[in-house]
Amino acid sequence: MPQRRIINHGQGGGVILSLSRIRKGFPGKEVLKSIDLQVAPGQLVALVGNNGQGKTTLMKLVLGLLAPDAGKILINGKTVAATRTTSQKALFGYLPETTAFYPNLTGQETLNYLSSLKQGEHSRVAEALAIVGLQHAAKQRVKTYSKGMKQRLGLAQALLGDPKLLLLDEPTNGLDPSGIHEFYQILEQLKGEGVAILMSSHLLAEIEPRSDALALLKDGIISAYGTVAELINDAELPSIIKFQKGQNYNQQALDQILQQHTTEKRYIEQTETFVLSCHPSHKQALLLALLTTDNLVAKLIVNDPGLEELFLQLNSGLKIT
Amino acid sequence: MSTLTILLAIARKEFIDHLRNGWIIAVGLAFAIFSLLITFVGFGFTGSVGIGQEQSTLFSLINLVIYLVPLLGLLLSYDGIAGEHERGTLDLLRSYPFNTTLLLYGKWLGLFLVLTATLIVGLTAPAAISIYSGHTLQAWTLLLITSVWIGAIFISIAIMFSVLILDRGKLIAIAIGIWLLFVVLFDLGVIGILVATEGDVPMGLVNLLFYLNPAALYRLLSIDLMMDDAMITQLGLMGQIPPTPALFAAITAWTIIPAAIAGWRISTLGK
Repeated sequence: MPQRRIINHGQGGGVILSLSRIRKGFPGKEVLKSIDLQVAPGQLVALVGNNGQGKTTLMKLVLGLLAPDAGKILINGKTVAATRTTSQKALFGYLPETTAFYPNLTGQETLNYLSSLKQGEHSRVAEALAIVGLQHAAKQRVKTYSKGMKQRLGLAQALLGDPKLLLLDEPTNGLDPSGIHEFYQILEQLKGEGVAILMSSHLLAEIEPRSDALALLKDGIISAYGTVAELINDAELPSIIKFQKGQNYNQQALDQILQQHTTEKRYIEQTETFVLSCHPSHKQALLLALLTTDNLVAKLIVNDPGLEELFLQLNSGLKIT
Repeated sequence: MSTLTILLAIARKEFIDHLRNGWIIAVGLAFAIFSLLITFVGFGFTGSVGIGQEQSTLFSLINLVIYLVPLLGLLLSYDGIAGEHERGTLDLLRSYPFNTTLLLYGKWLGLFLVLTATLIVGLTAPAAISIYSGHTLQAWTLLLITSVWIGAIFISIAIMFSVLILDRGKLIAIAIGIWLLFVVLFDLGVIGILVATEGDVPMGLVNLLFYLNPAALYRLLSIDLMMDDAMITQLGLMGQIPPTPALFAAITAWTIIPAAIAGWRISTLGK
């Protein structure tokens, strides 16, 4: 069942962006059927979904690059027309999925140029370069930049003009691990300043600890919305418990425990490991039973479900066992 | 203030980009070589090699401009907007807080300046030699202005197709097709009609056909502005050239209308 929650635990209160029953199709395909979504200041909402589910289309609708077939878009509580006004556009910072920029300009010249177009002050360019860690390459032409450096440059341009709503389409593509870490540090700081962030990503492990809310796009609707913890809880995803035989292992005792907790077991001979798939409501009692039976089990590991398992279950109906 | 700032920022970026990729110098020097050759060789029917008669040299240069400058304008501009689209920067810039038509007109201005600089590079040396040999500065200035104008028309046409098609692969074919149509095939077509009808075609119809081709209009306007009566008579055009204001109006329309269509289209992208 689609789950709809309005989450507003950002700073500053209110909602900067609200989408209501947005529909958008292209010839031969209806990409978005009915989208309801809200983003509040200081909140990071992650858009996840398989390729072709409409994440980029949704961002373009918000930016006014595409017009919806139906539905309403509200910015700061006011319904906006198909074309964004200059003052509405000034609220946005946008990082497209792929941007090559201009190979013959330096990083600094690129930002100076884009800053002029945002009618910003050139003095802020150095600041933006420093924030994304590109000050050392400011005088280099963009054609010498690596993919990760171009991505940083893309983020820097998105930060120009002090946006109130950042729309980031697959922003960490091409970044190395330290770049990803720094990138999320920047987002944390921006969130602290009340900036709202709508971000799409395929990298679920990255998003899980950092997003305030997750919106799963599937079949043209947001099929799940909430915090990762809430969604995992709602989905009743199983925990996976792995262990090996203890010194006093007893098949009968183990079967009795598992029967009490209606838990299925598998045994992997190569690693001599039992694998249990445990309903969340039974986990605590099952663990207690396993661990308090003298030396019944050894090397016990509990894997609680994460966003990846949630994504697979919600998106494809695959159950993690 | 902000509109002009944005317009100039876009034009400046376009100019720097083409300056750094070597376009202005490379194409300008190639154009200079052709212009110098013509300046030295003069026009065929002068019958001598060396600095030719001013009129015949200018007429040769007008023909060089007709062949080369439309092609330069088209090749310079065909990916003006399509290139931004393929680079991923078109959507980015459309999300920025300015009227998107400024992107188009800023780009047009930048490309116009690139072409102007290229033609200045290309015409400076032959002009200097010619003027030193007794030709007038006025004639060369007129040649530069009209050359830049014919280039501007083809920049407008290329930019219009660039925003309408947004596909560089198709656009390069379209650019070459437009050049062939207006510069090569059109004249052959008109000659074909005249031959087929043994010249029994109302002059009004021929003039109308010329209005449909900016390259032909440029040739007529240049001859009208730069050639003396003797040369015009020698070319068989005495009394055949439409009024100068009509030629100016027509090439102005050819400059503005494609750019206006492009401006309308870019403002409605995605709608």
